[in-house]
Amino acid sequence: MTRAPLILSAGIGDARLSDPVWAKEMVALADQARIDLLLLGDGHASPFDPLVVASWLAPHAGSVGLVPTIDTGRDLPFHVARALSALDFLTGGCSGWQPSTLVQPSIGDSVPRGVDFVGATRSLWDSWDADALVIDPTTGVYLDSGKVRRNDYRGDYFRVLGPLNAARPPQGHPVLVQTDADPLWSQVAADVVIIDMDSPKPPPGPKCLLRTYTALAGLDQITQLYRDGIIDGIHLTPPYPRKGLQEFADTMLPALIERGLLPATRPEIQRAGTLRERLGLSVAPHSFHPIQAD
Amino acid sequence: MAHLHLWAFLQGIGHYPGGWRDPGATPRAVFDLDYYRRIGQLIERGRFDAIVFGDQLQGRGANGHTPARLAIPTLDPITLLSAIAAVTEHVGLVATVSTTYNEPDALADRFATLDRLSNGRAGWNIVTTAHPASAWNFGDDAMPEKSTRYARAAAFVDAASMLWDGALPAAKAPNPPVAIANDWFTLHAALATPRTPQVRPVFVQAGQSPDGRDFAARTAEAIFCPARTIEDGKAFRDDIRARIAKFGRDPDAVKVMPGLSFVLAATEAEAIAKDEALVNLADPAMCIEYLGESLGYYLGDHDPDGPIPRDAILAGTDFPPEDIAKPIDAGVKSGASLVEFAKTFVRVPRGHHVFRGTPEQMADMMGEWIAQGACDGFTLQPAYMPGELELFIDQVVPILQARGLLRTEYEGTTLRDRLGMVA
Repeated sequence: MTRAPLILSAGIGDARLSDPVWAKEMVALADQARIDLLLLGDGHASPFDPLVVASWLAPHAGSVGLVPTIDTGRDLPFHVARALSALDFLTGGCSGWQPSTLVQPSIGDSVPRGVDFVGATRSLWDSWDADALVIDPTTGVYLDSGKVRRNDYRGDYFRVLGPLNAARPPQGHPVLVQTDADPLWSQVAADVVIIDMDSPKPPPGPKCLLRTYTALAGLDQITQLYRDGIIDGIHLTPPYPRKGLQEFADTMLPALIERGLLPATRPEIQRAGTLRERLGLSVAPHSFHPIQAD
Repeated sequence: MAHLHLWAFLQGIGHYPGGWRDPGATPRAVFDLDYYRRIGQLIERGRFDAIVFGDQLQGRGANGHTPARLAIPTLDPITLLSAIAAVTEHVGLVATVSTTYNEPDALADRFATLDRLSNGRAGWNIVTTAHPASAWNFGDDAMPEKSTRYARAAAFVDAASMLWDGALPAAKAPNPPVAIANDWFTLHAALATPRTPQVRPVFVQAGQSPDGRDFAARTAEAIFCPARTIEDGKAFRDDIRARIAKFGRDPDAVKVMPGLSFVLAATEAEAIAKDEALVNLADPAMCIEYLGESLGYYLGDHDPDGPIPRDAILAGTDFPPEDIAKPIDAGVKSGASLVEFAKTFVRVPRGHHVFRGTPEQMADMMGEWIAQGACDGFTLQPAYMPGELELFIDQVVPILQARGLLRTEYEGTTLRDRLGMVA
């Protein structure tokens, strides 16, 4: 059985992401480099709003999946759930999110708050079934009322009654990305985790990406780890994003194709499918359970 | 000659409850980027100042029941406007954002990012949020009182402005550096945003109560209001201009932009017939859902042909009962059944002017409102989208331009330039 192609990811935390010319150039370079996941505001307290950047980039993104960092110490689940719903619609199901406890200065309960944040946000998405919208002008039925309900989330940090005032995202839940730098990573059932070679082994389930600065030096190691089934992809954190992405497209990409880790051209699903499909992830299960009466 | 300002208020699929069912509406397309690309470019062809998105922080419906027949395509406004910024060049992008369920630093970042990426086209419609169900989505049991919400709003705008202006007082305490902005918010000096083309987004407000009008007069650069007639418009504009002057600001620096819904056709009689047909797209079941949402009470368990269930509504409404007792009592007094009451309710305009007539008549009316000092422009609320907006842009805009009332080319670059204002 052939394995799914190597997943390519890159992170940019540079303040220039709020400069329209620079941001557009970076996403074009990422598309040229066949980047599947572009992490915006990755690992930084950024002087811009990654969700706004991601939304603005949506029309320019080509095949690049957009993954804004979400600050679980400052944002609120209701705002984030519907903003990410809108982003997933506007990208045709090619978005993700990186909830992060690292943006704000660390406090004692950063991590439990982050876990609660993720739970509240997911429960808001689950307040709508995937097939709730009917939209039949002839009969006048817009949606099936039985498929939208209060999620009534009650956590230690967030209480959210719902339902969300936005439809379930096309992907069900946008792809949840974590890095091992964030203690949240092992507690939120991530879809994708980014690790170093010396990281503890991630829990089974998520796609594993190896963090690398420029990648070319580690080519043989990457090839071996991928063939041994230890990693599913790589995550680039180029200190100079323009140079890093350009060099990756020029030198690393052909080398990966030559070694059979990537097909010579992108298969159709790589261009047209949702991000979940492209990454070989299942559609997010519907986790709604009816609320028990007291 | 003074230009007439045009804004487009894009509320879902149009202003009429049944508008999404019209053959000229595209209710599925409103989830796609291509639709917004098309609408953005259409609006720039019409030389509008801005696109405005309203906002709600609660699900539609009442008592947790989501309506089956009302269109609910509420993609998050700031996400949408950020994407529209990328596919337009000139039009302003005004997002409605609440001061009650946000914090100044996060909001300042969001608008600064939008202003930078759009080259200075961001606007903020400042709202305090009124619907009680909003509170339940943010861990609160009840909305704060109106006066408390306005006090917070004023402090919020001051705090966010300090972040945009980079005018935070120097840090007093070392670890971490903290600057006290006002009684409501404590902000770190490090939170100041990088300067953006407009520095601050254009401030827009829509308050109607005395508190709301004073807040608008102190803060806003453009104001929405309902005005059913030219006299309503003049009365509001005179009042708000007096309040603006009282706060030591120049009344000419604030644009008054009443809502305007419209139905266009080749003759007036055809427009009236078209309007009737559009209203009738709201069938009895939709009318009852619409009424139920407005009363904060789910009516689906009551006999449509029975009496108005006054006591059940007042006992079960999401709203303070005293806020909704008046219209219900009027309905009960009229002897109408529930469905008759609902059908009448949908037909009563919500305070905004509804124009029905030919493109020529609409241009005449708009010119007359401007000439009489009833407004500085209009916030258009098409009956359905995008068909009715296309009619306006194809048929009314050229007349307004020929009469010298509307710009034929965009001047300047920022939204504040469009409004003819100096920062």
